[in-house]
Amino acid sequence: MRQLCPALLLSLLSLCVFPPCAAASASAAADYHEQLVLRPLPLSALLASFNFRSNTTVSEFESGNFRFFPRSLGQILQHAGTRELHLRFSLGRWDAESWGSRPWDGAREGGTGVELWAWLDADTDQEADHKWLTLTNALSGLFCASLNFIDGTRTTRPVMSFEPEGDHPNTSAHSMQLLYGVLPHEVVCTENLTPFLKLLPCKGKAGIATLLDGHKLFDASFQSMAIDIRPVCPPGGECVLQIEQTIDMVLDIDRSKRPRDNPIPRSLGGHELLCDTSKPYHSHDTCFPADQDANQDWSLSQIFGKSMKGTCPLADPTVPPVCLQVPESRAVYTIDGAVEIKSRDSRCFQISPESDLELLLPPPGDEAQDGAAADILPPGTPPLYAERSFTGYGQERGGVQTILRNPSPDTEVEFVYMESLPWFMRIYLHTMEARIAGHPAPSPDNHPLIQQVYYRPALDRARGTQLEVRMRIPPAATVFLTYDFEKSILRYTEYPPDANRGFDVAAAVITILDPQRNGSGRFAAYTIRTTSLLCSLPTPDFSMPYNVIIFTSTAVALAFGGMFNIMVRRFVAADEGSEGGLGALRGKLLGRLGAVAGRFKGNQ
Amino acid sequence: MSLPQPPGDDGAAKSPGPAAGAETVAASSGPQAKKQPPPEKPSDVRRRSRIILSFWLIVLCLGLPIWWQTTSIYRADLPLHEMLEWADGKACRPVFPLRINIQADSLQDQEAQNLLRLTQHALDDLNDFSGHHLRLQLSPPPGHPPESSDRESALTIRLVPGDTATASLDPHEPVLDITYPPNAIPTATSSSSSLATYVAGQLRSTFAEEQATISYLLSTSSMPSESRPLGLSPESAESLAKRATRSLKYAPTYHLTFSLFTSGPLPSSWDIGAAIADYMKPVLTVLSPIHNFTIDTQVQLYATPGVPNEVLNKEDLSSFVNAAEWPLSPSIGGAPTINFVVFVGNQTIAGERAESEHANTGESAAHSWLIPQWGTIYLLPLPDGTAHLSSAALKQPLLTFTSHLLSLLGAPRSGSLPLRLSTLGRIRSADLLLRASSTLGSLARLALALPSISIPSSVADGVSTTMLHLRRACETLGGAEGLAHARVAEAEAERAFFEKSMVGQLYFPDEHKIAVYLPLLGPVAVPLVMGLINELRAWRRRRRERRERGRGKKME
Amino acid sequence: MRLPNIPGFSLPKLESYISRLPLFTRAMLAAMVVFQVVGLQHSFDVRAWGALIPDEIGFQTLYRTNTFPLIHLNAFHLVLNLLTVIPLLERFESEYGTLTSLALFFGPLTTIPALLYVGVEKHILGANTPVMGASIWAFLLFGAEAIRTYRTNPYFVISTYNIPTWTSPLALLLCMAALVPSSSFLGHLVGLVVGYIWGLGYIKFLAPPEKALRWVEGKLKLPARLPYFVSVDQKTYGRFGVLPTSTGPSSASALHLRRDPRILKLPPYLSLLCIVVGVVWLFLLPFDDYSRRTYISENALLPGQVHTYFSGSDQHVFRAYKHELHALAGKSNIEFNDKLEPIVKGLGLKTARQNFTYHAAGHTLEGENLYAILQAPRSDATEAIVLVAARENVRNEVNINGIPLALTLLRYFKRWSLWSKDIILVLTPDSIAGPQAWVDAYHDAHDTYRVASLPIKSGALQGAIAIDYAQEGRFESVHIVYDGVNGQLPNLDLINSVVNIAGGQMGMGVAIQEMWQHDNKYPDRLRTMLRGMLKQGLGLASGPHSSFIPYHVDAVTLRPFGDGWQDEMAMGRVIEGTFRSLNNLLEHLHQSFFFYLLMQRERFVSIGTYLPSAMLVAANFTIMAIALWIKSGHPEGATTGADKPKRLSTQTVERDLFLPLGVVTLCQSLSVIPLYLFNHAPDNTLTPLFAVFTALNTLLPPLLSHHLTAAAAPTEQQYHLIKSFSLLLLGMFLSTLATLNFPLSLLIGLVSIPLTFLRPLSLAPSSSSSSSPSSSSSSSLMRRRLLAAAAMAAVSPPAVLLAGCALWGVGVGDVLRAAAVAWHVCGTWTQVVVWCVWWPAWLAGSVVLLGRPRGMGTGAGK
Repeated sequence: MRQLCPALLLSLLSLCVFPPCAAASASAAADYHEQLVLRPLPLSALLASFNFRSNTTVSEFESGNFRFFPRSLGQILQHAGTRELHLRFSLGRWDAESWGSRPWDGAREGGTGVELWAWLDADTDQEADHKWLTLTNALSGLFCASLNFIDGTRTTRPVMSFEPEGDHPNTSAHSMQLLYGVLPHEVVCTENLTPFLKLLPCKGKAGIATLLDGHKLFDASFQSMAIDIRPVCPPGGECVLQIEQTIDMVLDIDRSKRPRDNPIPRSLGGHELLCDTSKPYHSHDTCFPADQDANQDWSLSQIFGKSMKGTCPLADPTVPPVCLQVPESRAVYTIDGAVEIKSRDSRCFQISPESDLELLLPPPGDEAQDGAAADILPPGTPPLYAERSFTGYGQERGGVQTILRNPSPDTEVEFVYMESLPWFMRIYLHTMEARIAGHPAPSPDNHPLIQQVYYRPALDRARGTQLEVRMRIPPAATVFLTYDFEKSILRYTEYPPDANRGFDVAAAVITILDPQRNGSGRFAAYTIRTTSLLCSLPTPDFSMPYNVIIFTSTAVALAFGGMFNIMVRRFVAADEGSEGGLGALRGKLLGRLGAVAGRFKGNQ
Repeated sequence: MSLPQPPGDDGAAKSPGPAAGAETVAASSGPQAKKQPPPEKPSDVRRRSRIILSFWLIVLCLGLPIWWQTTSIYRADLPLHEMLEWADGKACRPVFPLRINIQADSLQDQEAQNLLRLTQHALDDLNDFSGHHLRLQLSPPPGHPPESSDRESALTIRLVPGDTATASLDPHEPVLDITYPPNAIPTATSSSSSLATYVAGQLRSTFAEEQATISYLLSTSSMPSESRPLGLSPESAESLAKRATRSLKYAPTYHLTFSLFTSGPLPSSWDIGAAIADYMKPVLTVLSPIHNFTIDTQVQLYATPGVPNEVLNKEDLSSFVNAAEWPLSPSIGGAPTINFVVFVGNQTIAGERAESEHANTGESAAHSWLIPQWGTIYLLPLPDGTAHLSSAALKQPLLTFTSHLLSLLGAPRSGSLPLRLSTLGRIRSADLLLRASSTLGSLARLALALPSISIPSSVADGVSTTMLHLRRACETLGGAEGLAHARVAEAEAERAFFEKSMVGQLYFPDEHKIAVYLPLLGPVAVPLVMGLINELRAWRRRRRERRERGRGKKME
Repeated sequence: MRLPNIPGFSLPKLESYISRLPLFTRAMLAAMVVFQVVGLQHSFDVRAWGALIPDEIGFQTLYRTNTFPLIHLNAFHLVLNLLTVIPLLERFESEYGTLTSLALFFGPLTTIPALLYVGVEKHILGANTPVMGASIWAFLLFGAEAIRTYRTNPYFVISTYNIPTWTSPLALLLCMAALVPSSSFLGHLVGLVVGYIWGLGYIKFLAPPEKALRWVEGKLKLPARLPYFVSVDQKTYGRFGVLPTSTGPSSASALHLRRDPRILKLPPYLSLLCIVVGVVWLFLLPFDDYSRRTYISENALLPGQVHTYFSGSDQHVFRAYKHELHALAGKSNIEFNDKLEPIVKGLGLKTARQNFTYHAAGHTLEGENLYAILQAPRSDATEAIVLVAARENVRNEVNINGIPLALTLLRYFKRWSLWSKDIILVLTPDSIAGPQAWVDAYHDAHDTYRVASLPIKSGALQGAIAIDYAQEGRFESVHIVYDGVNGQLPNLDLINSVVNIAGGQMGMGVAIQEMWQHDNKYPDRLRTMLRGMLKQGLGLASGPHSSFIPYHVDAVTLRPFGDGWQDEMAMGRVIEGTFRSLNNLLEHLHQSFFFYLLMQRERFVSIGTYLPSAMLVAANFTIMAIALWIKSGHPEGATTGADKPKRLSTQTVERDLFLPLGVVTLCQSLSVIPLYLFNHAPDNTLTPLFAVFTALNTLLPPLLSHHLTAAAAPTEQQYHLIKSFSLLLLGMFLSTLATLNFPLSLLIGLVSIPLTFLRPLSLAPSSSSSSSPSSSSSSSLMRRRLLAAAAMAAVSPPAVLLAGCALWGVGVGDVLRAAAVAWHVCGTWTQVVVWCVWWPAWLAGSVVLLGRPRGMGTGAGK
C-alpha cells in the first residue's frame, strides 16, 4: 500500500489530470488525504483498507483553532497532555497462512477488542497515571467504548515494544511516559464506527467514507479501526500534528454479495452449483463442489452495498481516492469519467468530486483458468507466524504456549514478544523456556533464543503482569515459547456477570525489529498480534453466599459449644448424675398430672 | 435438684438447728435411691471458674472490640447545627454597603456637606431594602491624591453646575455626571432640596436593577423573611426569573467554542482568530477580573441542522441544533462551555419573532437567537462558492455573540459597562454565597436523614473550609475578595457534597446482618451465658454453705 | 451366605410369630386385606365410602371415624402399614386382652384422633384432605411405646446432650412427612398425640372396667370358643416387666442403654434395614413422585428456536462426498487422510493431523487423526465447538454416512457469519483411542511419546457432538449416547436441547440407553435406568464423545436408528440446530445437572434423590464394622451362651490389633497383583490367565485361613477385628465412591452384602438355635466349611465376572481386553475398585468365614 508513492503520482497527475486543482492543492499544503486500497485475497476474500490523514500545524493546535483536526479529540489531547496517541479497535483475526502479510505491516492493527497506547507529558508516574485516567475516560465518552475500564490492573508501561512514531524534540523526550492499556473483552461494533466517522472532515457524506457502512464493516471476517496521532516535523517546514485514521477490513465476497434483506445462506439451486464435472459420479443430483476460488468477480456496489459518492473536496486531489491491486492481466471496468492510473500491480482511479465511482471486476477470463495465481496477486509471506494457546486443563494452574515460526529460509528474525496479563494469572517465570521444535532441550547457549527479558510482576488487584522478551529465531525454525501460571481465586464481587464464560487475556504483541535500522529508520519492521485467550477461573456458586456463611458459622458454633462444654462440665458416674433440667421438670409435671388422673379415676 | 453434700460436713448436716433441718428436708425431696457424686476437688472448681472467666475475658476484651472496629461505619462529625444555620441564613445576612463619592468641586465644603446629608436622607427615605443600601461620602478635593476610600467606591457622582438638572452615565468608568441649576444648591438651613431628591432618584434608578436582582436571589433562596425585600412586583420577578434561568451557573472559567457549520463542502476555512481579537477581546479583557475565558474554534462541513425546513419558526429554533451529529461536546476541562455557532446555510428565521423574544439589538436579530445556558446560533447567509470567511464577514456575528455573552453571564442589562460589571460581581457573590450555604444545608440534612452512610474526614474538612470562607465572604460582601471567598466556599461545598465514597456500593439491610450473625453468635452465646449463670449459682451456693458451716461451728 | 447366620432371623421364627398372632390383630389384618380386595372392583368405591373426609363428617357418617384406618390407598400403602402396625397391635392386644383392644380400637383410640383431625383440619386449617390407613394406629401405638420406653430409660445421649427418648416418634413422624409423599402429617400427628396421652395413662379410664370384661368372658366362654383369644387375665403386663406407673431406676440414662445386650444384637438388623431400604429406594425412583421432568435451565441455549436451512443442493454435495468415501473403503488410515485433507482444505478450513500409538493388552492401537478448524469470522480463537466423526463406531461399523454429513455440514457452516465460536471437525480412525488422543493433546495432558501434539489449536472447548451414522437409508429416530468414562455424564442441558431439537422441532423420535421402544411406564423406566447404571458402573467409553467429558467438555453421540422417513439432511438439521444452540451459549454449560439418572428422555432423577440408596448400602458395612469393634471390646462369651445377664459387665478387655491389621494389610497389598496382571498381560494370554487366577482365587481363602490358624491361632475377638477393619475400609471406599460413580459403588455394595453377615463358621451354630453344641461334630463342621467356601467363591469377583459374561454372552477374554484398553487409553478406574476395594474385602471376609477361633470350644460349650 505504501509503495504507490505520491510523488510519482503527483508528477503524473499534474501534467495530465486537473492542472488547476493540482495548483490549488499545492497551496493547501496537502492538509487532508484519503485513499481506499482494494486487494483481492485468496479464498474469495477482499481486503479493503481505508486511510484518512489530516494535519494541523502545532501553533494552530495550541491556539485551539481546529479545521481538519477534530476539535473533540484535540481538546482531549490538550487536556490530558498527550504527545502521541494510538487507538485500535479490532475484531476477528488475520489469517496469515492464506492471506499472507498484514496491511501496513501490522502497524495499524491491534489485538481483539480495544487497544490504546499513548505518550503522555508527565514528570512523575502519579501525574502520568492521573493524565492517563482522564485520557481513557474522555476517549471512552468520545468513542462509546468502555475504555474507562482500562484501570491500573490493565495498564502497563512497555519498555522494549513501542517507540514513538512521531518526531519529538529531544528536550521533551525525558518527560514523555508511555502507557499501554488493552481491553480484550470489548466487543467492537457499529456504535464505535459512528464517532470514528464523525472525526472525518467530510463525515460520511462524501469521498470514500461513503462506502463505510456498519453492517458491511461488522460482517467482515477481519476488521481493524486505528487512530494514530503524532507530531510530524518535515525537514525545514513547521511541525504539524498529524491524525491518521485507518480502517482495514477483509470481506468475504460471497457473504458480502448477499443482498442485505436476505442474509441467510440458503443452499442455492442444484443448477447454480459449480461442480467438478470431471468426477465420474457427477450427475444432476450429485455434485462435487468446485467453488473454492470462485466469487472473484464483484463490483464496488455489490461489496459495499452502494457506490462511492464523489470525492471529499477537502482532500488533496493529487492522491487518487481508490486504488485496486490486481495483476495487469485482470480486466477492470469503471464508469466513464474515471481516470485510471496504471502502475505495476496496482491501478488507481481518479474521479471528479461530483461523479460517483463504480468498479466492476468480471469473472477471471479463460487465460486465468490455470489457478488462483493469475486473477489475484500472490500474497506475500510475513516474516513470522505466531500462534498462542493455553495448555493444561483444570482450574488451578495452566500454561501458555506460543508457537513462533520463521518462514524465511535464510534470514533470522529478531523481535520483542510482549505479554500484559491480568493479575489473577500468576505466571511462574522460572518455567518460561523457548525451545526449537526438534531439539527437545532448550537451544544451545552460544546462540540463545531469548536475548533479553523484562519482567514486571503483578500485584494483586493493583496491576497486571508485564512480560517482554526479546528473542531471535534462526532461519526456517519453529520455536515453542512456553510458561506456566497459576489461577488465583477472586472475591465474589470481582466476577463479571457471566463468570462461567471465563476471563479474556489480552493478545500478545510481537514487534519485529527492523534489522537495517539507522538512526531515523523505522523501529518496527512488522507487528503481529496473537489471538486473545479465554482463561476460566474457579467459579463459585453465586446463589450461595449466605448459605455458606450460615453453614460455616453454625459449624464453628457447634465446635465451640462442644469444646466449651467438655472443658466446663463436671463428669460424674452415670448413676450419680442428677436428671437434666428438662427431665426434672417433666418429672414434676408427671407427678402432678398423675395425681389429678388418680383422683379422676377414684371418682369413677 | 438436690445439693451434693460433701462428706466433710455430715456433722453440720445432722446437727440440730432450723437451717440444717430445712437442708435435710430439701435433700429428702429428691429420690432417696440416688447416690451422690463424690465432692469436687476445690482445685477443679477453681479451674472451671478460671476457664469460664477467661472465655468471657476473651469475648469482652478481644471479640467485641474487634467486631465493633471491623463493622462500624466511620462518620466524621459535622457541625450540623451551624450548617443548618447557614442554610437558613441565620448565620449571615447579606448586606451590600455601596460607597458613593460625590465630587462637587464647585461647591464649598459646607454646602457640599449639607447636600450630602440631605441626599442621604432622601435615599434612606426611598430605600426599602435593608440588604442593599447606598452610603454617600464626599470625595476629597482633586488636589489630594485619591486614597483608599476612593478605590472601593462603587460610583462617583460628579456635580457640575449647569443650567438644568441632567444626569448622564459615563460609558467608560463608574461616574455619574449631574449638572444642576445654580439655584438648586440647598442653603445650610433648608431641610429639603430639589437637587438632593433629584440625585437620590438618579442613584436609585441606577441601582434599581441590581437591587431587584439581589432581592430576587434572596427571595428564591431559603433566607428568612425579615431580610427579604418588601415589594417585588410579579412581572419584574418573572423577568428576573427568566434572566436567571437563561444565565449560566457561575464558574471562574468559561470555555468559548466558536464553530462554523456549513451545510455543504464550502466554506471550509475562516479567520476567526483575527475576528475574535478585533471584536470580542475588549469585552473579555474587561470581564477578566470576574471570569477567565478559554477559546477554541472548529470548522464542520456537511452539517445538517436538526430541522430540515427552510424557514425556521419559533419552535424550530430550539431543535435546530443537531445534537446527534454536531460535535459540540462540552469541553472536558470542567469549565462550562458556551457555544457560538455560525451556521452557513440557506435557512432563515420567520419574521421578527426572534427579536421580540430575546430583546436583541440591531438587525442581527433576524439571524441569531440565544439558547439559554448553552450559547448562540447565528445564521450567516453567504453567496455560493465562498471558500473562505474573512474577518470582516464575521464582524456582525461576533458583536451579537458579545452581547449574548453578557446576558449569558447574567450581567444586568442597563447602565454603563463598568457599572454593569461591578453589579455583576456583587450579584455573583450573593448568588454564590446563597448557593454554598444551601448546599451545606442539604448536606447536613442528608447526614441527618441517612444514619448508615459513612462520612469520610475529607467531607468534614470540606465543610469547615466552606464555612470559613463563607464567613469571610459574608464580612467582605460586595467587594472583590468577597467574591473570591464565595467562589472558594461554593467549590468546597460542592466537593464535600458530591464526595463519592459517601455512597456505599454494598447495602446490607439489618435483617441480612441478623441472618449472618445469629447462627454464629446465638449458639456461641448460649453455652457461654449458661456456663456463667451456673458458675454464679454454684458460687453463691458455696458461699451459703460456707456460711452454714460457720454457723454450725458457732452453734457447737 | 445363608440367612440363619443372621442371629435371630429365620423363616421358622417368622412362621411361628405369624401363627401366634392374637385374635383381634388377625381380625384387623383380615379386615384391611378384605377392604383392599373390595377396593379392587369399581362398582362400589370403598375409599370414598370409608375415608375420613372432614366435610363429610355428619351424624350418619360417623362410621367413617372407625372405618378409615382399615382402608388404604393402594397395595404398597397397605403393606407398609401392615408391617408397622401388626407387631405393635399384637403387642398391645397381648398386653390388654382382646376385648379391651376391640373396645378401644373401635372406640376412643380411633375416634378421638379422627375427631381431633377433623376439628383441626376443618376448623383451624379450613382444608379438607381425606385421610385413610392404619398408620394412624401405628403412630398411636408408637407414642404409647415411646412413653413407656421413656419411663425405663429417659435419655439417649448424643455427644454431651441428653435427648429424651419420647421424642423418637416425632423424629419418625418428620421423616415420614419428609420422605413419603402424600402422607398426612396432621393425621399422624394427632395419632401420635393421642398415643402419648394414652401412654401417660390419662385416658386409661376409657378402657372398659375389668369386672365387666371378666363377666363377659365368663358368660360367653370366649377364651374357650375363640382361638387365639387373649383373655383379660392372661394378659401380660408390660413385656419388660415394667408397669407404666412403676418407679423404675429413676436415674436411667444412656449408660444402661449402652450396656443393654439388645444394643449389641441390633446392628445386624440395622444394616439389613439399610440394605433393604437402599434397594427399595432404588426401585422407587422411577415413580413420578421421585423422578422429575427434564427442563432447560440455561436460557441462553434457546433450543429449537432457530430455523434450520440445511437442505436443498447440499444433498448433492453430500452424495458427492459419500462417493468419495466409498472410493476410500478399505484404504489405510493414512491414505484416507491423504485423500480427505485436500477436500477439507478446499472448504476453507485449517487442517492438521495427529499421530497416536497406544500399547494395550499386548497389541498396539495406532492411527492418525485428521482435524480441521473453521475459524469463526469476527471472533478470535477463544471458544470452540467440536464435531467428531469417527471412521468406525464402537461396534466397528464404518461410519459411512457420518463423515460425508460432517463434511457437508462444515461446508454449509462456512457460509454463515454468525458463529461466535470456532468449529472444529475431528475425523478419527476409531471411536475410542482417536478421540482420546486428540482431546488429551488438545489439553496437553498427553504423553508425547505415544501421542503427538497438535500443531494448530483453537480456544476452550464448549461442547462436542459426535456423529455415529453407519446405517444406510432413511432412519426414524435419534439415539443419544451420553455415558462418559468412569460414569461421568455431560450436562443435562445438552441432552435436553438435543431432545428438544430432534423431538420437538424436527419431530423425530429420541431414544436413550438403546431402549428402542419406550412406553413411559414403570418397567421401561426402570429398565432404562438400570441399563444406564450398568453402563456407568462399568465405566467404559461408549462412544467418541466419552473422551471429552473428563475434561469438562459436554458431549454426546448422536446415532440415527430405525426405519423411517427421515433422511441425512434431517440428521444434518438436528446437528445444525444443536450447534446453533451451543453457539448461543454465553457461558460454559453450568446451569443444569451433572449427576443424574435418566429413565426416559424427559424424566430424570438428580443426585440428591438417588444418592441415599448407595449411601445406605455403603453405610451398612460401616455400621457392622463399628458394632464389631464394640463387640470385640466385650469379654468373650458374654454375648454367647444361653442365659444372658440383663446387663453386660462394664469391664472391657484388651484388643490386640496387630494380627488383624496385618491380615487386612496383607489382603489389601495382595490386590496389587491381579490389578497389574490383568492390565499388562498380553491379549492372547488373558483367558488362560483368568482361568488360573480363578482357580487360585478359590483356593486362596482356605490356604490363608489354614496358615493363619496354624501360625497365630487367632481368637474370636481377632476375627471380629479382621472383619471390622475390612468392612470399615469397604464402607469408607464405597461411600466415597458413591459420590463419584454412584452405580459402581452400588453394584459393589450389593455383591458384597454377604460380607456383612458372615462370622466364623464354628460360631454359627451357637447363634442359630437349630443345632445344639453336642451335634457340632467335626464332620458337619467340615461340611459347612466346604459349603461356605463354595458359597464365598460364588460371590468372588472372578465368579461374578464370569456370571456377567455368561449373562450377556460375551467372552471373558474380550471383556478383559476391553478393560485393559480402557485402562491404558481412557484411564478407567473400574479395575482399581474391583481389585483394590472389592477383592480384598472379599478375601478378608472368606478368611474370617473359614476361621477357627481359639477358645471357641469354651465359648460354644457354655
